[in-house]
Amino acid sequence: MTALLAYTVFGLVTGGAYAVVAGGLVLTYSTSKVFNVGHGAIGMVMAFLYWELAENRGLPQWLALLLVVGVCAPLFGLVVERFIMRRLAGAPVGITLVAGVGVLVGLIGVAQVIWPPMARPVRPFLDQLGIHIGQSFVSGHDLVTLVCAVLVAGGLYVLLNRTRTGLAMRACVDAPELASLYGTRPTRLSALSWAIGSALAALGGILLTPVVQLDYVTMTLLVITAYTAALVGRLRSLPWTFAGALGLGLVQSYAVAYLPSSPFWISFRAAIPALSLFIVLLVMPQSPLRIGGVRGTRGVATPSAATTWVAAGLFGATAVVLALLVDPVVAGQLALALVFGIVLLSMVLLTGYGGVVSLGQFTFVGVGAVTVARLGSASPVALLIGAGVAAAVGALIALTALRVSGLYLALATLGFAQLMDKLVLQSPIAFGVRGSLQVPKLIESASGQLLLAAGVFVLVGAGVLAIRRGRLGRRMIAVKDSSAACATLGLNVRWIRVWVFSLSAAIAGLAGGLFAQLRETVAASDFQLFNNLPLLLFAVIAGVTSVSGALLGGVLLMLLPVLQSGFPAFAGVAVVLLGVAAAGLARDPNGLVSWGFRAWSWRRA
Amino acid sequence: MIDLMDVHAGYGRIEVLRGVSLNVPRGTVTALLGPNGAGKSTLVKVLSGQIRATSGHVHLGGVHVNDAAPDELARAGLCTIPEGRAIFPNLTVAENLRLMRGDAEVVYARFPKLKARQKQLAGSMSGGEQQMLAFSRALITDPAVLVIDELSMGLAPVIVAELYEVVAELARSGVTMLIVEQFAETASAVADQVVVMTHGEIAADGDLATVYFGGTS
Amino acid sequence: MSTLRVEGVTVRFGEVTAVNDVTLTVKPGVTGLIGPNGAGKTTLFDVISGLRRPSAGQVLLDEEDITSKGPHQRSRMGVARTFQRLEVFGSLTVWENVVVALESRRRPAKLARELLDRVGIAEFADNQADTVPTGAARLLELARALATDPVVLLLDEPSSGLDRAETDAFGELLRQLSAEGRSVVLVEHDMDLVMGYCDQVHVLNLGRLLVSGTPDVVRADEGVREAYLG
Repeated sequence: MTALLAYTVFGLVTGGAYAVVAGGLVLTYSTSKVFNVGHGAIGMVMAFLYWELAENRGLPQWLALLLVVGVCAPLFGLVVERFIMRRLAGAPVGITLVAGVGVLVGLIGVAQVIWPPMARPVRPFLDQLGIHIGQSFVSGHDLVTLVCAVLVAGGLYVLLNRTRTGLAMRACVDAPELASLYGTRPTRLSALSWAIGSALAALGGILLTPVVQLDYVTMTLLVITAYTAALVGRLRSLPWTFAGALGLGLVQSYAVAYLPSSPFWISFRAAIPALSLFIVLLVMPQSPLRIGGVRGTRGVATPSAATTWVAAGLFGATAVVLALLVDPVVAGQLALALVFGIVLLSMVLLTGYGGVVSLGQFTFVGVGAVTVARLGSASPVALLIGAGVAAAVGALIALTALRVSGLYLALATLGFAQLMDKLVLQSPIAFGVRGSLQVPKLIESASGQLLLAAGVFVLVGAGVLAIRRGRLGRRMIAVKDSSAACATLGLNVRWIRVWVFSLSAAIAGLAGGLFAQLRETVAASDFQLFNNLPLLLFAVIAGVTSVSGALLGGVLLMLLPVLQSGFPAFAGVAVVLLGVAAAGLARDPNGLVSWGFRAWSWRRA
Repeated sequence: MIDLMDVHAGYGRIEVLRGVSLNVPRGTVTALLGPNGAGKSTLVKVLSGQIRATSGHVHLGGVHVNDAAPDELARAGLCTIPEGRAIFPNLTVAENLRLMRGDAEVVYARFPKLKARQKQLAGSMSGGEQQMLAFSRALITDPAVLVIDELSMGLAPVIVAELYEVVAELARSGVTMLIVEQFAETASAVADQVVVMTHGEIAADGDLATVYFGGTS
Repeated sequence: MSTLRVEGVTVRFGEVTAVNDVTLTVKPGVTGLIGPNGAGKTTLFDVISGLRRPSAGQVLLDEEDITSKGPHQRSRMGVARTFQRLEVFGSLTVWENVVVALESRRRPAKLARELLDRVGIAEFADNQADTVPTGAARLLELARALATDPVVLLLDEPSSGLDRAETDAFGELLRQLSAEGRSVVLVEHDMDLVMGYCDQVHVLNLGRLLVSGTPDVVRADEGVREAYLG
């Protein structure tokens, strides 16, 4: 009984901190209509900053807290709103998501540059205080957290219900166009909501440091927890969001208390936010088919079958020449670039054509790699089995997330990636207790590997283009532009989406198998959740609507670690640049290669 | 007061207004009539700053406002009531009125039904009550220019009559108005000038019977 | 030859009733559905095409109750529609738009040119669909709907955005479709078109069915004149 009470208190405290973070997320989203994927990352950087001031520079805790939550975080929110998000007002969900991921990745880079990895203990607030309730102890920090949660809840309530500004914010949520006809300034409200949202992310992050440790990734992923809580309130209702956050905190706390402590159950606990996310998605009502207005996107021109074969021939010839000329190390790197290129081809299909942003594409690569590694063979059959398993997993996620679309779907892929990460890829199930597996090579020589990767890239690339020119390609794009029209023309919109998802996952899985046998040793660390995000960013920067973009993106992805190890000082900066570039380029998903195409057609004209 | 000169506008590359010129003198009421798809609502959006004219000039009170944002125009005294139920459905009636920055009592005196429902969510009221609430903004913000799009849309004749009584009062008090309607007679009765629009242009002859019942009768 | 029947259909959004207990029958030929804005015409189309579940009532096609069927199932039974607020596939070419519809019914893609010719927009075949004028986009939606070879065709304001000559050509097309035995339902504000080409006209006002009858009967009706002229 005492234990139950203690765990309940602990759950409420954690849930309270989640509520603070989630409250900020909902406020920002509902006022500016931009879902801030980088919300957790803002909290992370601000928690590091708090450590810097309070622990490293020895400022009093209260002063450090005030400076970070009251000054730095709101200013940072204002900057992000002014220079990134405001330019994206009214842009499709995919574009704002990519910009958010850019912010997230950039912030991790910033944190890595300023605060290199080391243990950074943070003193809890009021650690000499504390009260006993029965036999359980509630620390001063816990009390502070609870008080903060209550104050934030009350503060947001007063802001939204008792002030003019809050009223205008709610009006903007209801009908933004009408609100501007009433004379309210939408940009000012959105700036304010970003400032408050960032401050709450910072506060939540700082309150959680004694629980989750100061770490780049864990705190950044708080966005999933906050998102799950926010989903309970349908990304609108603050009271329901708070209830959802407290519920999550309690479930996690009880899981610690009452689930067995075998390795599986330990990883299961870590997956609770992602699991809850899926449960909430499953019980959410179906989103209706949207009607209203012509939508269209301008991709780069699709080459004809003849052009494709000429390009494939040229590409093949180049690969052969390179395989003969370059030394094995370079050949191996080029092969790796092409394998990454194949992964990006899977995103051309899903994101470029289908308009679905996946934040978990690298997870399918991991599934393919694990399958091949477990089969202990890299024969073509094993590679295809890897692709098949990835396709099955892709179909599963698509079926789960079938009922939702747009933002909800994209975030479901992130939740799925985290679920797979915690339950499978990072647990002994996948890579065994040692965390790594050996894979025999399909072809021994590096030049042979280059030719193999080039061959598969050509086949998959031509296949993707053939799909685009064919029936499935037209259907995918039709579903993206108007699912209501598709349905009234007799197309089963949901099955098309399942198809596209599985096909794309299969391509990623195939790339995973190739990756595994190219590397010979694959480890859990190769497939960490975070690898998903640079992947998406490189896809968008290079161009997610064309095969050439996938090729360029693959080369860039291969070069990133090479550059980072060559110039260690540059490592974090490269990540920052990546984030900034993506946030800046998010508007044009045709990416860098389309500039090349444009220059070319201009010269021909 | 409202001056449009050869205005072209549309959505993306699709042109809806094909050179519209229109003048509403200060202190007068103009009724703009025409079938659906004629471009009336697009014209309202151009006036209110929601859509930018691709060419031509838009003047309000002699000021060139082609590039003004909707909120700037609203603060400068332009009151636009767009078509549909122009209210915030998830705010209460009282909150909706609070947003309008005016004296709610003036509204309650005029529309007692709203007073009875002031704590209710605006979206849960009947269509007629919602339109009264939307129209309240014209009543309490003391606008210099009032633009109303389809005030009578989907409303029972009794309520239309009640709303138009207030429109007539405002007209007498000297508010410059542009009333966009499908219902011909109600709007024409309060108007100093009736203009008919078809196919994105001001129709040369404003014969309503032809527009509504066809020329082949 | 198919008959569509709407029986006692009511659609409520909160306390607002957009369609109120409407019963009507659509037989082969051209049926007009008219009424002032906000009368519930588009909502009724949404109910017939399956995009919206009615709060009460039934939709029957040849006496079979299809109220619980999804939009794609109804399309396969022969119900097609166009949209008042255009829903063309903007990223695809005009030709591809029609091909998507043809393929959905396993009809050969080569019919696309014929269909574009038939509605009179063959010149736009290779243009991306979000770049064509409104009128052409409406005709494209019509071609796309025809590509499914429908027995019931719901057209939501097809003539808005068309000029006089295009409207006349469209009227001619309506005659042909009617002669082919299809049931065409026309929501329209161009009264020349409605009175000139419809066999039967239903007038909706405030969500209720006001009058049904031939164009002459409707034109002479006092209630209709009142709904329009106040």
